[in-house]
Amino acid sequence: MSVTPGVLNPPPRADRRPRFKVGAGDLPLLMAYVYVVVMTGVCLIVSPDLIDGPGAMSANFSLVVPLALVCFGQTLVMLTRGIDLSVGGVISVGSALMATHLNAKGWAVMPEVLAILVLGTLIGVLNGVIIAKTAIQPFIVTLAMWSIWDGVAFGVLPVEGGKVSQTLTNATNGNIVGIPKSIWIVVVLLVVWRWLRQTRLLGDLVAIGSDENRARLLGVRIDRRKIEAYAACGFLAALASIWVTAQTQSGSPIGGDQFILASVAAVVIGGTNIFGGKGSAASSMMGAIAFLLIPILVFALNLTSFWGTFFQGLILIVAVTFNSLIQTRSQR
Amino acid sequence: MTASSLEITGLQKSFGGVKALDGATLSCVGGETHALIGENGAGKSTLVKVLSGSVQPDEGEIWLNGERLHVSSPLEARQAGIATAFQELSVIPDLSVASNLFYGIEPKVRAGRIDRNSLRREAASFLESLGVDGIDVAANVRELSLAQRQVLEISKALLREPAVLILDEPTSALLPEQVQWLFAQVRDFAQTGGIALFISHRLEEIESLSDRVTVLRSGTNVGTGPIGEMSEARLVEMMLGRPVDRVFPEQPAAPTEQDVVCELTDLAAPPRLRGISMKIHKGEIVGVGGLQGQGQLALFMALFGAIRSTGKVSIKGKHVRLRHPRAALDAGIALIPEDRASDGLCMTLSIRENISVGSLPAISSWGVVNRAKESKLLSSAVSQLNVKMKSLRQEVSALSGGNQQKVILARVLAQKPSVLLMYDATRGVDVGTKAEIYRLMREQCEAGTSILFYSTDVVELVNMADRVVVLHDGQIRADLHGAEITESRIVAESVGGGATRQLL
Repeated sequence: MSVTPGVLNPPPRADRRPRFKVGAGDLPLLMAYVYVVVMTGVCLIVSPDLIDGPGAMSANFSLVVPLALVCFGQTLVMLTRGIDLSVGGVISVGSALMATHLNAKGWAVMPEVLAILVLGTLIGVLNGVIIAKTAIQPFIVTLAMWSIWDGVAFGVLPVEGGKVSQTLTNATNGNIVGIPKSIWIVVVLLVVWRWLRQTRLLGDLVAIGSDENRARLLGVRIDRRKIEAYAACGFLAALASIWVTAQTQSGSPIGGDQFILASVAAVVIGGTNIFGGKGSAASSMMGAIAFLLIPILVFALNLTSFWGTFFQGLILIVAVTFNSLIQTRSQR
Repeated sequence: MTASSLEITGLQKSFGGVKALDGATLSCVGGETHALIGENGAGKSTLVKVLSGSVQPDEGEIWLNGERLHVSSPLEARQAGIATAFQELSVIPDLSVASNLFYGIEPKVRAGRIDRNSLRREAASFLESLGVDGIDVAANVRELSLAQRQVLEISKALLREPAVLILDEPTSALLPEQVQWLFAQVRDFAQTGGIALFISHRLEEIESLSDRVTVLRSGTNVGTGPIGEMSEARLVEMMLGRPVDRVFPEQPAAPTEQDVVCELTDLAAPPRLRGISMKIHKGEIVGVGGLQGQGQLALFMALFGAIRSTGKVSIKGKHVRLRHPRAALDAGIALIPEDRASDGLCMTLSIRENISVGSLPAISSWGVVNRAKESKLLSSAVSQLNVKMKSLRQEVSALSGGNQQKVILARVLAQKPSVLLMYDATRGVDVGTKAEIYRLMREQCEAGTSILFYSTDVVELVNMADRVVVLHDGQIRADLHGAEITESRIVAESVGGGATRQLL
């Protein structure tokens, strides 16, 4: 036979489409950028002050920071085909502790912050250990953890309030080289993501989420990697807790709950696959921005505020539908 | 890397009371290609898993180059110099080809960063050195064909320069020239002093590649010897533990012209399927051949109502609209799919549920299953196929591949279809089960069922089909009858035009 100079000459196919640089499977990861650009554009036309009025950028981004932090961690976990609902508990308990206990004892700010971060990380480690070593679903484990730590938060601080160190608040406000610190944090997170996605850790997380059995055959230390992912998620949730508490200058025993669904929604809007193996923390943070732009847009359009929740749900459905259409198409 | 010897002694492994390995032994020397054969459930896969570190043996020892090995994880196996091309493939769909090739052995890791550009360069030059082309190293494995993934899996094992190279059913998705490529690689590997352990169901591959062969049966080594001293019949006899007359049942004399059971008129589902017209007669086995991906899957899916199609399908003269698998089943069309785990069975359900789910309307009244009718159906279905099982309540996931396939057959046959679609139903199935499947096919045909039978194994088509249609680019390129059905003719029609036909 005179065919086949090489091993893998593909058999002739009638429907070979041209290859794009960006695979169709990557499209979901780009959609959040489109949402953000479109919504920002509409806002700028309708009511520009909400975006580039004095102090608007700083105010908007101070809302983005905690959600971006939680989304970053949530992305790492969702890459492994997991989910972390306990981020709500971590934020609540961190907030309650900062507003009461640690402050009342006169701890200095730095040890206070470190203690909260250590606690968040430990909660994450606990999540990871239970999920890795037992066959219990991440959803159930972290749901329980959320409830447990919300309970602890209520014990520490039964009602919203308390007293938050002014030093901490001051540390989160202000500019560095004329740019609000909140924006710097998002920039740092993007840089960290750029580095992280080239590490072996991220390859392992993708492998686990893509196909855990094959990852095991590859020699990936699955338990260790899962624990690392949940620990990172707990750590980042604790960071978010510190930011929120410092900005609101008050503790809340249920302050974290809103971040649970918001973070999952933002990660999904960002195009990360809830079934693991595909995702980007950068896109998730874009998803977070898109998610938070909606109430601003609703305000700009002079609608009552319930439309904000309505449209947040709508964009979630649209994003998920779009992603799954792309997925089925690219797998055919 | 070279190896002088690999010795396995007294390997024991049980899964939930079922002995997969029962004192298995294996002895290989450096520079040889050693074939490991046996029926499904004979313990080959478990032996491979023990060697590759993904399963821990209950008892037994592994000695490599005179040193006792303890492999308690795939990582340790790799570090000990054992690389495996797994049957189920260990390439990760969501990672790039380059990342997969170098997984865990990435060169030049700086500050935890993997330099993806150099990774791609090295991956490309490595694949080139193996003579592999047509794979984009930057592409995700998800975008590759099954054959490409298998070539990648093999290349990945070779890249690790192991002392022991384990190839578990490496040819299941490969085309003939790709098999030749694999054989050349394995011979090169053995020549440099390594041990290649080759697991396959295809005896002709074993005969042409390996130096020695070990036969496993029921978890025990029932014989090792040079391949030249083992005839095919002898090997099959050792595998089954009893002599077999032949794998394929005798082909009946050319059937007399029967009624048309199924008629397709311009059945199309673009882009894969571009207009098929043919008639299937009562009791006929129509083989479907051709290169992979020429529309065979679309043809079967369209006939089963699983994808949208245009054109006309008549069953026994009646026009049927196949808009849903339910419509196909109602019309008497049943399907045995290729992937039993994902398409054919509910793995977490019991054997009983998996069989009776296909016949629920027939065994229930007013929406309630009549248990008496169900057990009657089950006992006749199971005994007809002799499924090896503990009880009907057993989960199908605990069965061996061949037995799982029998459960599907039992379900489908209980539906008493008039047209049976078999899509590569014997892939990854051992000789004994294959022979039973072939026998059943003949029985069904004698009872009046017509079978449309796709197989990647040309030998199977030649021996089983009364007629073979060769598909190319979604259309019928050739319709072969009687004496025209030969291996060379089918291959020639598959690969292409007139020039090739003259060459063969």
